[in-house]
Amino acid sequence: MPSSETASFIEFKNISKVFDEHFACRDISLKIQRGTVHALVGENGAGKSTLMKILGGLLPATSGTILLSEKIYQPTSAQEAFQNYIAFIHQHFVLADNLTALDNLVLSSSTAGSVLQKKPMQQIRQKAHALLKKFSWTIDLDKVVYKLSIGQQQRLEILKALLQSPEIIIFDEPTAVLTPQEATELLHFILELKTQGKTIILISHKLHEIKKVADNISILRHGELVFTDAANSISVSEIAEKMIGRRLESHQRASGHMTKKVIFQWGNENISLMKGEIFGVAGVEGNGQNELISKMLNELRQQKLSYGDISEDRVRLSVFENLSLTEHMLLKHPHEFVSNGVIQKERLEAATAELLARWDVRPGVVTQPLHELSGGNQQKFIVGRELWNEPKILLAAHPTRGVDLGAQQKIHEALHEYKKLNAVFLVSSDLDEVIGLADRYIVLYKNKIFGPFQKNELNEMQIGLYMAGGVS
Amino acid sequence: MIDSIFILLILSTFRMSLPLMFATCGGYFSEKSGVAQISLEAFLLVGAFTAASVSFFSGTLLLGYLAAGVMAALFGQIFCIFTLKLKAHSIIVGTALNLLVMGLIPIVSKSVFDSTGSTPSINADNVYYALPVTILIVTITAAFWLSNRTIWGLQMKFAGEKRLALESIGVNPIIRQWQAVTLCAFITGLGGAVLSTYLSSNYSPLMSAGRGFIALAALIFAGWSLRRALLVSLFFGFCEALQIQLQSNQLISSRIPAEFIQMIPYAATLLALIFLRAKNNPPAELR
Repeated sequence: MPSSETASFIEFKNISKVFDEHFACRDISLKIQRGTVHALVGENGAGKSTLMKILGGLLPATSGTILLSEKIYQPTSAQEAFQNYIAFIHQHFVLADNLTALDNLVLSSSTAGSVLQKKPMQQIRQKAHALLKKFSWTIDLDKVVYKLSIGQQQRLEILKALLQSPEIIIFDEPTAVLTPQEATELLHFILELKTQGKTIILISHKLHEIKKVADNISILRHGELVFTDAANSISVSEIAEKMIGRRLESHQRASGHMTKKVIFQWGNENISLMKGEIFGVAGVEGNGQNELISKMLNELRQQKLSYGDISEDRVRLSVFENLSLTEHMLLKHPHEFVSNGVIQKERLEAATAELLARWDVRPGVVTQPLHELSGGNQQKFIVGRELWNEPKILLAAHPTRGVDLGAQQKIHEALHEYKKLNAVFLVSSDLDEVIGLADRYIVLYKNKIFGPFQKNELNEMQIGLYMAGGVS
Repeated sequence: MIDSIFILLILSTFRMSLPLMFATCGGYFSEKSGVAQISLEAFLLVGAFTAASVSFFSGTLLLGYLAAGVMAALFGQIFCIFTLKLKAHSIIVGTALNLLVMGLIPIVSKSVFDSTGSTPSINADNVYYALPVTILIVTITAAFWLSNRTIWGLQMKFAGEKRLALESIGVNPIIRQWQAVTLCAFITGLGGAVLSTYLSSNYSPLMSAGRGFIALAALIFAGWSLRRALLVSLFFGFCEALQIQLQSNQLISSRIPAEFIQMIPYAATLLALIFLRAKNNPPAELR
């Protein structure tokens, strides 16, 4: 490896990438220094993933060059990036769920040649244990991957990359799937990698995280680079502004529409929803949120209250990849679009188109399969669909997870608008979200319910105590 | 008397399990690499016919076994070309091969033996128990070593579990699948040889009698674990042995129609699949 110098380590020169006449990246020139954490931010579809895929050898650039240590670098495969000490840690793990952690590590260090040799189990195990010890992580290497927690799976993915001793490590939205503690730990880990001289590129849209760890920040908007400089030269709100190209309003909103009219009383739980309020559920994930939501759903069905449901895992629970947007609309609201057993196609398409326009779902083609939309647009569509018939109660579980700032604001606005009409039940592990939006909230800890508390009744530290089980 | 029936049943179980175990072992490789394999039946028949013919002309059983494996592997290339190269659906290609074999073998048989039915009896002087058993032991040992100990085995499994991981280290999953399917056909072909040279002494039409599907059922039932699948084949072999023993028992066969007794192995397959829902984790990218 060349010695450290002031010249940039990775340099993108006029990189463009065109997909069917549409620019995913347009003329991006960017320098990344050795041994730094470089954050790449932007909304969904801003081109940050595309740019990194070009660096990682997963996509060829349409035009432009990349210099690696001042030498031209044009990868044609992920393998080639690998050989240039570039590791790509994907948001969606590239692990075989049915095989053991160790087997996954062994595979990643194998090649196409000499395949009839014995698997180097001991060798890899020792190397892995050395790394695990270094970061004081624990992963049972003999466990099958699907039995590991999401956090552990991500560590395994990182371990897999580190076994090849990469110089450049690309993290694609690494904290999107992690609990707050795991996320904090990961950020510490990234800083530790930096002290070891690794160069880290961090794709994220969690701006507070980025401010904590990044040395430099580059902001992309609609495929173009709009900012690149030291992280301490720009504030979080300025980053947000540059990302979405307009100002973001603060989350804090006055409550005031609350009436005393109870529209939902949960029999044996101490929970009631009043017209005009957002009722929050705070707590670290895995403390009974899922159980609470399914009990709530049961109760709503029994009481025959109309409700909208913005599920936690949009892909898993409320989305069928290959069905089109209109079909998703029809699934949720079958009665509105069927008369005499015949689907009212025109009415359905018109309503869907109107929904897309109102929620700014891009691109607004009603016949498109949902999976072709980006994550943020999927989320906006689902929210819009659930609110379409103005249900009595809106169940919003982690409504903004994995969603960029612009979409997040849109969803928050929607919740706020919505509560004027009816009530919102908001479950979120993002404490800021609950504090910012909820009029009343409960805190969950190990299936126990604390509260409800009024807005401003507790400060953040006090809520934190409940969340950590410090108050009995 | 009771003792001898018991011993006969055990011996018969082993005999009947032999072809199943070969087919299970073969099917394991194809399925594990992510290629759904329903043409085990065809591979068995190709193997059976080849072994019977080659052994008949050469008088050497070992040569018959080898030829059976090789011919089935060659036949398997049709499967590979259609599913892996031309991307046809494996179930459709598998069905086509099963049907193709029913027509192909009589044609070859007609031109070689001037008969579309059974082949002439093999004149090998002694039918060893040792030969098929030795071949099976070698095959199973090799299969375990290959799939669990070697890098090839790991990469083959990744072709069925996570192609992307394989691609990112520069290995083409299709090549591993191609190799796995070829190996599958070879091993299953050996099972066919057992049918025509050990369990009988000639090839008769459709003598595989659904064993390819039973082997597939064993694999699925065992949750795609080779060790468990072999045990399950032993169980299915037992059912078949039981059927034979019951039929040859005067007392029973005079009371129950033969057709009912003959149903035992198939009914057992069905019942096993219905009632004993084992832990089921198919290869993630099986198609």
